[in-house]
Amino acid sequence: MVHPQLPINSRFPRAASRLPFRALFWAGFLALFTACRENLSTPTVGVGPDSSGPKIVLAPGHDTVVDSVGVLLVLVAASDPSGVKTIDLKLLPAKAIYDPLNGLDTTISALYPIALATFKHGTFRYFATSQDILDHVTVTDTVTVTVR
Amino acid sequence: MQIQIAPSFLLKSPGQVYGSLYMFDDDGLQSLTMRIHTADSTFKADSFLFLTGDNSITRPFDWAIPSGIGVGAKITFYAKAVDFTNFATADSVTFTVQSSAGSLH
Repeated sequence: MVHPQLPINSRFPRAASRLPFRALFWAGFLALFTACRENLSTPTVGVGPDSSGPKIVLAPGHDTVVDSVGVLLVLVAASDPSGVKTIDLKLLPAKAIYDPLNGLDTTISALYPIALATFKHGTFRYFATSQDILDHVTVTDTVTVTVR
Repeated sequence: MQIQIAPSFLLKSPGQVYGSLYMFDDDGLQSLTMRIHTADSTFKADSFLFLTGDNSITRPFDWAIPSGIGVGAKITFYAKAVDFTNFATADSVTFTVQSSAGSLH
């Protein structure tokens, strides 16, 4: 006697009805396992604590030639995320001395006038320094100015 | 969270407590609480601010210290940052007053 082939659902009704539940159970378990897993990966690094001095913009920032007329305006602009405590411009030879500027802010800028007549047919140099509130100091490269 | 103070810093009364706060969190920084007080709480102040959600923030702080806090008195500065998953972290630093003038009102 030949029995007709029955669909699988008819032959094993209980097993077939469990299939979706098993799939759901394992999907849920996997989701929970993934969600509850402790994050042991190393966090990505931020910029880190402030360990450097202010950034200084100095203009003119490269060696230059000027006429001995009037003044040369030198721009010193400093910025620091922790706050700039001082900025200062040093002249070599020190024919003029500028007091350090104080201003507890994250950016400070100043224009320093350098009288050029006293350096006629000669040269002078300058550089800028700046300190943040954590005492980190930045010193710029020295700029040489030739005065005609 | 890290409180940074200059090595040369000296606390005076009247004076200032200034330094820098560095905060970092993968989930983004939500808020910052700062408190400053003497050990006996005759002087105390606090500040709370919401942050912009950045992962990494460095910001200065500058608290005015009134006159009249005696030499040797301890002042504690405390900072707490909360991230967007409500986890918090804190740091604190305690100073000793090095010079003093006037009287505390």
